[in-house]
Amino acid sequence: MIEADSLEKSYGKKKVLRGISFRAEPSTITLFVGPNGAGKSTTVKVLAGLIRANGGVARVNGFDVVSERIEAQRSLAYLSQSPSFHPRLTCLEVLRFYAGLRGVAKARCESMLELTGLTEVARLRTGKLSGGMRQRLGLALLLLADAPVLLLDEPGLSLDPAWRKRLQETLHFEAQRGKTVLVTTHLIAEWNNVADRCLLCRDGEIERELDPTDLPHNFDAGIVPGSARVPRAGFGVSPKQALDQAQLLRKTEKFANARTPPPTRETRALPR
Amino acid sequence: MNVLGAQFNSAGMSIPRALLGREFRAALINRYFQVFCALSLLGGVTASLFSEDANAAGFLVLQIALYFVSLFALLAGVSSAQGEREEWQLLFTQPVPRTAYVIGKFLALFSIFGAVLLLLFLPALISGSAPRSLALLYLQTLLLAAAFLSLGLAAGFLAHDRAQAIIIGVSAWLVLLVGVDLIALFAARWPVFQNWPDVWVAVLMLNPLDSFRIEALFALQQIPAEAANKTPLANWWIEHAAAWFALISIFWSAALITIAGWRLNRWEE
Repeated sequence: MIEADSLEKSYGKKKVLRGISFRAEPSTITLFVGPNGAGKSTTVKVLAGLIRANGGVARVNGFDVVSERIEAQRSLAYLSQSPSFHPRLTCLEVLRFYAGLRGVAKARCESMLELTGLTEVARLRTGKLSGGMRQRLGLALLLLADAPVLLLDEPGLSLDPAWRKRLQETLHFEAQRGKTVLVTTHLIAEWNNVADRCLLCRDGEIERELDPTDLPHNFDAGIVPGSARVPRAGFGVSPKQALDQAQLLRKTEKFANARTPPPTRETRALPR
Repeated sequence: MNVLGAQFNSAGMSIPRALLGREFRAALINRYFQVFCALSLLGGVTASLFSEDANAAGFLVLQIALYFVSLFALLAGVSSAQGEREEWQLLFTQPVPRTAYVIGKFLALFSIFGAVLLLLFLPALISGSAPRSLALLYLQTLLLAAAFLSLGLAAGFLAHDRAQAIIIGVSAWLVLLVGVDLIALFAARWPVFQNWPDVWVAVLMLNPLDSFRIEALFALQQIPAEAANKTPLANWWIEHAAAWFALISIFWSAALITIAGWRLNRWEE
């Protein structure tokens, strides 16, 4: 369970979070979408204990992320956009180190490497891994401690389509096991029909909740302004899919400056 | 949730073991340590082979410890602190107090220095130098290394990148090695120091390198404490030089580790 209540964060005079409030329940995947600078990553970093909010309260699994930071962090696992590891240690050494920090049996490290297809590079230094392999090692670390709350910040950007699909399936499986999964992403079309909830974040606030099974429609209508990446044809993406995505992005850019529709009864009911 | 909660046991001893293990592994492939091992052995063998008598070997080892061990300890600390800077984001989401990373690094590097310094001292011991004075010098060199490891860690954690960390660390090392002495020499004629020479002595006493130099010189040369009986404080210092050096190096180490821990606790993405 994740609870955020009126989170505020400023860098100098710039307000990045303006009172974000939401709850993410166990057994669900909650998607956090929005344009660049909306405050998605900052919110996740506050939850992960990397940043201190200037105001408001955040709880992970019931633990305050500031006053009970260690307990909260014991309940979560975090995957950043581009995870970095000690460049001179091998994949297995990195996993074993984190297993030690989390009190996890070392035997689980090999299982995680197998799960993420990294068994063959287990003894390769992480400095020699490709971007996609580093992401997979990050995924292995995310799952290593079997934490009940999973936080993912723009995951899968370096992964090929097959592994991105695998990532979504894995998160779906973990959610079914009772975990709370929170994902921030720009790749809206890719995450359509994957999450249970989708929150649109803009200007440091939760603006509204979107239908997670109809994200391209929201995209199409300009509700979620331009942030998608157009996948190239080939490598698991058909030419038609790439064309559809490109057309969608063009429409989005056209509506990028459109004002958000006035709040409806449903959006007013959202927690603030 | 009970199944999930089963993982939530206390990590117990596995955290310190993981932190130390990682540092040992990283040190084995650290170029500073590889060069330090080679130079320590070379220095130790050279001191033994080319010294005219057993005491001279100890004196040579003292010079190596003063200039070379302090610098390598500093560089090892900087390298360790900066080596995983890009990983801080991932490290600091783990359920471990950030100060534990600093303490873990310090303890691991201190242990490694303890082992590597044997390469410097063993040849002199084998060649017949006085074992008692060499053992004392070994322990004091280790304490000196601890102070400069801490300085390196503090510089490494305070700086924004490796280059800045090296500039801060090496500048501090130069100030302690020669800067303080030059300033003290220049300031010795000032009325304040002429009237209160103990203040002048106190400045030197607070510098771990001067403290180490004075203690080791007096111990190796077997100079009686009365020889320096110029001021009450100087007299007290020479009489308690070994204890004072231990105290001041532990104080420097603790203060610098506290600064490094404070910096890490304030770090934000």
